[in-house]
Order: sequence, then structure tokens, then C-alpha cells
Amino acid sequence: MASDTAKQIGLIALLRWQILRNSLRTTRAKLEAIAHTLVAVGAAIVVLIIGLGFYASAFILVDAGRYGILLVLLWVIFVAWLFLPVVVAAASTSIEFREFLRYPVRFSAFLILSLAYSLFDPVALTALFWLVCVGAGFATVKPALLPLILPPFLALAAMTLLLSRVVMNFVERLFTKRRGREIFFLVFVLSMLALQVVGIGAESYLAPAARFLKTHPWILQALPPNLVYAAIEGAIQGEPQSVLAATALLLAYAGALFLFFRRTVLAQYRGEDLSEGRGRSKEAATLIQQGWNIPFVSGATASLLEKEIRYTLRNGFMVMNLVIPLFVPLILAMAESSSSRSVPFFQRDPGILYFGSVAYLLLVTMHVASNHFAFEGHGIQLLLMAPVEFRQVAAAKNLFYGTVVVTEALAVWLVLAVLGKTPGATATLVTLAAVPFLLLSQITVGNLLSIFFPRRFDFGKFKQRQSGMSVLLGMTQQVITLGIAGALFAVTRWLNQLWIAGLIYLALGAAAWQAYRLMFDHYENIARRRREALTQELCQG
Amino acid sequence: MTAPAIVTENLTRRFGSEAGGLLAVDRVNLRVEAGQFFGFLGPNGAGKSTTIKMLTGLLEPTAGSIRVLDLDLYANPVEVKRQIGVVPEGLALFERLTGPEYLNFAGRMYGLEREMAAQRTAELLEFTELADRARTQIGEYSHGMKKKLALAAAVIHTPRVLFLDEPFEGVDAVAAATLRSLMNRMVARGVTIFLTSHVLEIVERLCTHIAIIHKGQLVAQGSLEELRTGVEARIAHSGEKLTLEQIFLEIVGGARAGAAQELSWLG
Repeated sequence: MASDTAKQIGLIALLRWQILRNSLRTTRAKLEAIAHTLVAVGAAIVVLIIGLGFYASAFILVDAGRYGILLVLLWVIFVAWLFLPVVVAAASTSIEFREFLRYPVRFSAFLILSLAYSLFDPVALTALFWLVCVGAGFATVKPALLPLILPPFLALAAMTLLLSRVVMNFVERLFTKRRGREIFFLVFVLSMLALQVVGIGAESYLAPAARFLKTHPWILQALPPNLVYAAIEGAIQGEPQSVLAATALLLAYAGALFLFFRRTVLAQYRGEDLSEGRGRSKEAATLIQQGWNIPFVSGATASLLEKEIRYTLRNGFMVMNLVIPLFVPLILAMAESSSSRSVPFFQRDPGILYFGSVAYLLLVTMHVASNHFAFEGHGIQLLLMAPVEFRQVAAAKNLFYGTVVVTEALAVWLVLAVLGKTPGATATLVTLAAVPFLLLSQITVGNLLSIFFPRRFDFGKFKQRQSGMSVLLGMTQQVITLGIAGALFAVTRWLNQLWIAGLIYLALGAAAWQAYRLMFDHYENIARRRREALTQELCQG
Repeated sequence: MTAPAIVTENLTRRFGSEAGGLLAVDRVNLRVEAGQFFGFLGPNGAGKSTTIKMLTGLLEPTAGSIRVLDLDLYANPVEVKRQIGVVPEGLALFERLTGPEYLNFAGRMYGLEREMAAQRTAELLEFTELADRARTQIGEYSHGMKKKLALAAAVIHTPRVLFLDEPFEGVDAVAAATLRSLMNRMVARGVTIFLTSHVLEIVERLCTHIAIIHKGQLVAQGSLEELRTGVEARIAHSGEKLTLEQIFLEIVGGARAGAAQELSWLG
């Protein structure tokens, strides 16, 4: 039976390899693979640098005898391992191992695959690497204690791996229903805001909780990172029984989680249906409303805009993208007023705060512009078959982005004004002068990336990844344009000649407009040549 | 004299390189007269969907020309698209819109005024029996409901030519009856319908003219009677009228000799 399981896992590994090999047949796919590799190498360098930081911190802390701070490092890694997968899920790819259930796969093979799936998650690998770095930092100073601290570290890794899988299973299940997704995003946005607010008034909000934990210290002591820390302390003080107790408790957690995890995997193995159910209730016939009437635009453009707005409002990720930029100045301003520490540089001048907030909102709201057909699905066929030029479709999307950015830029200004941090007239005008340059360059590149490197996204589906080329080129464009705009703002402000930046922004905006028009003139031909690839990519599945 | 609804000349589509690529459609010359209910048949992979994609502007031909209602499709794409309706393979639906929102959207994209689009939306929803699901997003519709909605969207602007790619695939008998009823009404009003389908019984019942494509080449074209006469002249038969299925299998060589000897391990 064990050899059957091994054979099945081997076959599935072979299948994955064949899929990968076959997916690299076209030039475009090879370019994609290169882009993904570049992005992955960049991310790996960041992970490596942070890992070296963990190693160096552990080394220095243990060498200096300040073990207490090791606990902070352990907590950081533990929290990152648990929550980052949920946050980055939308940007990573999924191995649909559940599809293997159509074959006579043994439960043992399915369980092992399910665990391997969580271990090969980039975030899990990252957290595991950082944990190894902390352990290595410790072991470099005290090599003799390595045999003692290795078991609790391994037990923590196993436990966290299982816990993260259980959390992800829960979230995936939640995401299969539209209502679940909506609740998740609401809770997510609120918790992000709550975290900021709690951070601002930490003394008053957290004091009762801290008092409670002080009177019940066993609660903290029983948490996984604290158990590893207890084991480290035990090892240093020559108390192997403490190490043993902490390791045993961690293994007990891991065992309990494994049983829970096994139960959910077993449910999937037995054919649990996670698909979106169909409502069966009959609805009362409703009066059909007319489409929107928007002054100065044609009926087709008005209906395209209406569709864009409806789609955005029905997409939790997009709504979050629209809402968060409005809270950023609020949070920064509140942080300033409640903090007793010195005021950070960027908060001293509301003009800088405004410029930074607008740059941030462009970054957040416009990242969808580089793949703006992502959610069309089969609807792209209608856009290609309808008697309108395809550039009219792109123009409607661009108009939508422009409206969003301008509205939000004004809303951010109002938020600051309400908070008593009204940016000066010069800073306001200069910031608004930068918007056409930043927006036009972004949508010019975005229109091209959307048509050359489209990638289908499904609403609320986990683990969806944008084209590697799109990420690479889109990021490059953002770094360059925001870099130029930011540098100009900083230099001219330092010279007390901020208005010069405004003039340069206007000139850059004019150049960006020319580039946009040039792109637009050729867009119909490009779309005609790319329509096949566009429908193929967006209509799959 | 009325111009033909669809004429193709040497319509060709190759995927991939000249040497190693796939010749999906090979010099197809089609002629569909205005007002015909035209069935376009072929085995899987014969080139039906590729042809219909080219005819509707979703795919560019490698060579050849297409004229729809006497207009060159590639010289006048917008004008041609205004006069045709299409239910493509993927149905072209926006799954996060509701049925009425989608029909309104389609109507206005095809140039209808707001009031007209809303009025026709209401009528089409009633006709397709989707009015009671007006608040439901299309993603939650059943397959049959999606097909009915896609057909409603394809006809909302009163097209003169209607292209339907496998309209009966995966549709139950009730939904199929609604679809047939809508199609028959349109043909009665002079609309040309160009339809691909694997359900030969339905094609036999609905279509007046048929073309059969096999391995990318047009192997037969004409009225059902003409095809029947041609096949009956070639083979020995019992004297009973040949069904479309028999005609089709005879033309594409569907009866395989030696099939009984294959897969003997199946028992």
C-alpha cells in the first residue's frame, strides 16, 4: 500500500512536470517564465536579506546575552507565516490538487500532497528559512546547545505549517460563497483600520488586556513562540526538562492540528463540494431600469462605464483598493496627533502628506490598469463582436480610472482639510499637476500590458497571479514615473521653488498625453492582431 | 435580387507556422442566401468553430475573404457587426451582471437608445422566462438559462444575420423549445440563421440548408434534399429516406471498419 502511495505521488509529480514543460512551448510563455523568474529572484533577494538580518540579530542578541528579544523575532516569523499567505493569496498561483481526486488516488497520497502543497507555498518557505536563520544565529554562538534547541524549532515549524494550512482551508471555504467573500473583505478592511487605531492609542486600549495577561501569565507562556523561547531559556540554564516540556506541548499542538487538518482533507477526499451554490429561490419580477445616461458621452461608452462601475462595486478587492487610500491620510494624521514621539518628516508639512497620499492612491488604485480585462471572462467576446471600435472600450476604462483617481485625489484633500491639515495652495496645485503625468503614463502602459499580457481573474477566487511580464514592466513604469515625480517634488521643495515642479509636471503631462494619443492611434490595429490571444486567455476555464 | 447573407471565398485559417502548423480551415467557399436557416456541421475538430469565429470577426483569416450582407467584413467591421447577432462558443456573458443589466448593456453597445434597450430587455426576459431571476447575477444561472440569455442578447438589436455556435449543447428540453421557438420566429421574419450543432435531429428539423466541413474542407453544401439525393445515388440503401445522421456519417466516413476488433480487452 505504501508503495502504491509513493507511485501515485510520483505520477502526480511527473504530471506537474509535463504540464510545466508543455506550458513553455510558446515564445510568450518563455518570456513569462523569464519575467516570473526575475520577479522571484528579486523577492528571493529581499527574503535572503531579511533572513540575514534575522541571523545577525539572533547572533548579536545571544552573544550579548539579551535572549528576551529572541521572542520578538519568533513572534514576527510566526505571525508572518500565518497571515501573509492570506494577504498575498491573490498574487500567487494555485495547484489545484483537488482535481487529482478524479483518479483513484489513495487518501494517504492525497493527504501528503495536501501537506506538500502548503510546504511549497512561497510564504511558508520564506518563514521556514527565517526560522532556520534565527536557529542558526543561536547555534553559531552556542553550538553545544544545538541538539537541545533543534527539536522545539522543528516542532514549531511543523505546528505552524499545519496551523497555516488549517487557516487557509478555512479562508478558502469562506471564499467559495459570495456572501463569505463580502464578509471577509469587510472584516479585513475594518481590522486593518482597527489595527492602526489600536496602534495609535495603544496605552489606553491595551492596558486592560495587558493587566489580564499579567495576572494569567500561563496564557502567554502556552503560545507557540513563547514555548520555543522557554525551551531556549531552559537550554541555556541547563534545564533539559523545560526543553522537553515545551517541545512536548508544541508536538501536542501539532498533533491536534494534524487531526483537524486530516478531517478537513478527508472531507475533501470524500467529495465535499466547495463550489458556489445556486440560489433556488424565485424572485419577484422587477421593473427593468434603463441604462445610465452620462452627459457628453455616447450610449456605448456610458454603458461601458456603467458596467465598469458595477463590476468594481461587486469586487471586494477593487472596493478595498478604492477605500484604503482615503484612510491613509486619516491614519497618518491621527498617528501624529496621538503620538508623543517626534513627528516624522513627512507629517510636518501637509503638502508632503498630500503628495504622498496621492502617489499612494495612484499606486493602489491603478495597479489593476495593467490587466484591466482580467475580470471580463467570456464577456470579452461581446466587447470584440459589438459594433464599436475596441479602443472605445479601452477609452471607457481609462475614463473610469481617470474619474476614480481625480475623485479620490480631491477626496484625500478634503480628508486632510477636515483634519485641519489643509495642504497649501502651491502644494495642492503642484500635486494635482502631477496627476495627468502619472495617470496618463500609467494607463498608456496599462492599455498595452492589458492587451499583450492578459491574465484571467475570477471574482473572489484564491491564488490568482498576474502575468510575470505585466508585473515586471508595470512595476518598472511605476518606479520610474513615481521616482521622477517624487524626486522633482523633493528637490524643488528643498529649494523652496515647488512651483517649478508644477511646471515640469505639466510639461511631462503634455508629453504623456502625446504618448497616450500615439498608443491610442495604433490601439485598434494592435487589438485586431491580439484579439485571438485575448479571447484565448480570458475565455479559458 | 437580394444579396446573399454570407459569402466566403477561399477562406483559410492556419494556426502556427506554414510548415508545422495546423490548417484548421482550408479554402472554404460558403454561400448562404438571405433568409435561410443554415446548418453548419462537422465532426469534432473539423473547423466549425474556427469558421464561425472568422465569420463574426473574432478571428482573422490567414487568407480568403468574407462578405456579410454584401459588405466585406474586414473593410467594414463595425457596419457588419451592427447587422449581425452572435451566440459564440463561450456565450460572451459578463457573469457579474444581472440578466437585465447584461441585456441593457448589450442593447446599448449595439446602438439602441436607453428606452428602447430597456423595453426590449423586459420583453426578452419575459419571452425567455428569465424575468423572475432579474436580480440574480448571471454567474449563478444554470447553463440553459445562460444560453437563453445569450440568445436574447444576440437578437436584442434585431440583427439580419444570426450566428449560433452549438446553441443546444447542454440545454434541457424546455430551454431548447424556447430557443427553437425564438429562432423559428426570426427566420419567419426573414432573418438568416447560421447554426452549428452536434444535435443532428434538431438540425434536420430546423435547417433548410446544410454544409458539412471535414478536416478543414467543405465536403458538402446544399439543401437537405440535395445532400440526400447525392448520398443515395452513391450507396445502396433500403429505399427508406436517409436521415441527416446517415447522410452525415456517409459523407464524413463515420462508419469505421474493423471497430469490433479494437479494444477487445473491454469485453
